[in-house]
Amino acid sequence: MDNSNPENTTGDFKFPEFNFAEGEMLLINKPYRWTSFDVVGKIRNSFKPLKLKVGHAGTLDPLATGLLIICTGKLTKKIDEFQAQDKEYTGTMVLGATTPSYDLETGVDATFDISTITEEQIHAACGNFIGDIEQFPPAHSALKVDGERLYMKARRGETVELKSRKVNISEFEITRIELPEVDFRVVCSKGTYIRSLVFDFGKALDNGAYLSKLRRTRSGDFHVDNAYEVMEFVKHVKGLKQQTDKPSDKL
Amino acid sequence: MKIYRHLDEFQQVTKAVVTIGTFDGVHIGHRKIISRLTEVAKKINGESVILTFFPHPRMILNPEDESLKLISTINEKATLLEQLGVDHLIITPFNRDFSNLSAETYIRQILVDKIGTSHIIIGYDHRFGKDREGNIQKLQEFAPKNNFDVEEIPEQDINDVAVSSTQIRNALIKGDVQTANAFLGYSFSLFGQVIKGDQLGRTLGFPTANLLIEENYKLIPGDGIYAVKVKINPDSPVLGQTSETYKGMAYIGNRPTINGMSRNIEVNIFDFNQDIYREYICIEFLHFIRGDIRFDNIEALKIQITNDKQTALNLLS
Repeated sequence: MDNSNPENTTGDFKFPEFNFAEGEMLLINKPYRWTSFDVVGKIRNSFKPLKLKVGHAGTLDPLATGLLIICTGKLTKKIDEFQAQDKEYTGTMVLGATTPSYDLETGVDATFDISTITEEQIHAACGNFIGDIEQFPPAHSALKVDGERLYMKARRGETVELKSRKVNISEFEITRIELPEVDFRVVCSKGTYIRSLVFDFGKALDNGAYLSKLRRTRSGDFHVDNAYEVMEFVKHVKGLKQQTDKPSDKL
Repeated sequence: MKIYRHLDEFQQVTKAVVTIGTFDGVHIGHRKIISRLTEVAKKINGESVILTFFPHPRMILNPEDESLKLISTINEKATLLEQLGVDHLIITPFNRDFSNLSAETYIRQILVDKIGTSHIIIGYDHRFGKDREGNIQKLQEFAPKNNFDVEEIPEQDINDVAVSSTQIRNALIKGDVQTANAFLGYSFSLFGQVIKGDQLGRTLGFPTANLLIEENYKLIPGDGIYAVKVKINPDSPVLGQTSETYKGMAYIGNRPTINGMSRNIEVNIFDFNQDIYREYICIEFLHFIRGDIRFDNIEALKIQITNDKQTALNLLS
């Protein structure tokens, strides 16, 4: 952060000098309900009339928040590199129910009695998931028609050709238990489906669970604490463009 | 446009100008009827109402039946009708209770009491009530004492609707999207979520996004390669109208089916190299390029796909 350059301030927040065309890696805090592509689109639009390459380095679902790494210009070449890094998440799962998508994108499709689950059991269940584990990606969200289920195939239990994948969980701890909610923190390799982890966690307890909250706190060495809010960033870029009539000068 | 998921949700409006139908595809044949509907509503200072039945029981019992597949999903239909200026769309499930009402009860309970019909626009072939005893004549019979007018849709227009619907379906099944689009009055599209595919495309140098369509009743065009336009997150409240449209080519076929879908739909988006997993996209079908061909070796496939891309670019320019 360059404190000696007051024209780069946006309110109280100071941005460094950027060269987006040459290539920047931006840490962005993805807003709730935005898709990752929305963030990319918003940022790309902010550079207009300049048409710059912008891409993200690892999807975050709309219902998740937290660190989304955005690369611009030449640094889009490094996206695969960033995508391959380990990630850390914090989140909340709800015990006693499952949903077809394993998160809140779909409604509850089964409920379970949680009255006999103990805190010891919950902490102990983590052990099943440390190290290399096999995961199946979540099946697609349930077929629906304006809230009415109108599918037949999925419910008839037709086999779905999904391949399992090996991922590595280096840390998985429970941080708060207030049933039915359980907060957790996890550090995992790329490609890990946190939704599947939660679903499998519920099964390990002979019960059910779905993901209700998810926040990516870290990707490689980059932390969400250093991330920009999208709209603050967009405002800053607009400010830069106004400082000159040649946007390419300032971007 | 107000959308109601069930007849019970509808609150009577004064001077409802009503028509009843499936309006599958909302094609040029339908538009004549709908424009008459909105015209009358405007003239009498009323509100246009379309009552449509969904889902149809036959669809639930026979989900595999290709002939029951629909050209539009319910969401697509609603969007198209909204664009035509319809005031109210009532989507209600068709069930036994409906089919058991006598014609007179149907008229009284549904059309008059529930909807508040002041003017109904209906075709000679429209049937309702027990044993399908209700028809336009019955409506005309009960109209005066129930205080509504009955307007008949010209027979020619009714027949045009049937012809258009059949033409569109047949064309789509054959892959002839140009004919289908001509009768639709817009480009046929598929909307769904991007899911992980088998990554074969990527190894060939043409990464593809696999599309998962939630509505299993949606009619899918015939197998083959198509020149398409793609919009990512078209309904995004964040990006609004600034969502870009990309050119690309889509493959529809039986190659390993994904997630229990009957057919595989994947699209290669030109000049695009971003991760859009789990994003929603809309694929507009503009031209058919060729049928699905089995290739013996990867090299031949690569050459063909490269040619396909050039063909697509030429067709889309």
